[in-house]
Amino acid sequence: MTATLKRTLLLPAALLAFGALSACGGPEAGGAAEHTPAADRGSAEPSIKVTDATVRVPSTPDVTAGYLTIENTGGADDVLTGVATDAAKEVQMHDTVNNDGEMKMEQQDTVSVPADDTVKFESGGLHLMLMEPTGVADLEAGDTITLTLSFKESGDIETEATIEDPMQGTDSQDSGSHEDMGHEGD
Amino acid sequence: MRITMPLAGGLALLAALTACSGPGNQPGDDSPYTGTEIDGAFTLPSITFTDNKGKDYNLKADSEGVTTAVFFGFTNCPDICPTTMADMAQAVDKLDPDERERFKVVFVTADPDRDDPELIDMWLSSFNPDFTGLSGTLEDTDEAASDLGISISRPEDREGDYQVGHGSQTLVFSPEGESELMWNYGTEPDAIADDLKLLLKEDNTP
Repeated sequence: MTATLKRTLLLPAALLAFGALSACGGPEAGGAAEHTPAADRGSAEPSIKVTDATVRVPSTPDVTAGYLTIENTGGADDVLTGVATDAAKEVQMHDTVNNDGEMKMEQQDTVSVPADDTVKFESGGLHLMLMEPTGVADLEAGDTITLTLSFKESGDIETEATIEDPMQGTDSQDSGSHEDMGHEGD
Repeated sequence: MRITMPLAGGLALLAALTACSGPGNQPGDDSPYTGTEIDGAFTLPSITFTDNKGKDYNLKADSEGVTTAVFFGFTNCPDICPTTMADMAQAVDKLDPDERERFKVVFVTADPDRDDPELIDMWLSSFNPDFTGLSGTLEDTDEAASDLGISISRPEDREGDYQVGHGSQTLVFSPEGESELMWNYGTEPDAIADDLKLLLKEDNTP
């Protein structure tokens, strides 16, 4: 998957490319939050789209993880400064640092979303940490909660995150569709 | 700021192994396993923990007789640890009853200050209630991890929310307690199940 788009791409081409991107990004973009101003071609403003948001059914009352994809189709950089939801006491942003197999999470105050770039929060990398997610505890896979993402330039953007059972993780569903096609011999 | 484990001799080997093996087979790797073969590199130490039902569990003696996978983590870890446990649980679901009988998953908390048997029991039950979850003293935990080439780093100041760095590999031990395989984080449940089926076949051969 090549995600390098030229800044000069015309809008239709960019949209096509994004269709391709989301096609290999796992789950269907359930409650995709569109935030694409009509005429941002050539404008020096970021244009942010949040898709594929999921939150895991918590395995402890203390914490659970959330994942999503942020695309900036605009001509300027933006910065994610925080995430909030009514369903948890606090939402932190963490990155995973892998030092020869020792995984360590590092809290991020901000996450930059450069122009013409896609930032993925996914397992093993950047992820959301929902602290005391009481509003998720009674929910089941398939239910949704609202996440509010705050951007420095684009302001607040809401997205619906689908609750997901880690026992049926999207990552393994992705590869599960290939399981009958070829074993590990490649 | 941070307590770093004294490095076991095996750690250098493990670092070398980890450096050149992502999840999945490498080109030119003729091993039948997706995991990395680490035959005899580590031996389960005779250290006694408390299991998730409150009973004593000696890592060596109580793992004898069955193939045992060991993973260090902590319940306040939202991403790596539940993903690994969920992958392991999905792999176990793919085993037949006889294979399941001869395989055990042992989770050891790297964060015994916060993880008590009750919390570990609840946490594990969302993946597979048959998994064993161990907690011990900090000293015993660090010694066991060190013996198995697994690094743990936790902040000195453990107030409020804090994160524990830990080796994310899962090690598999023979019924005699000798290391056989290592899966890196992100190894798919299908690959884990295939490895286990093959391993259990071999471990069954006297």
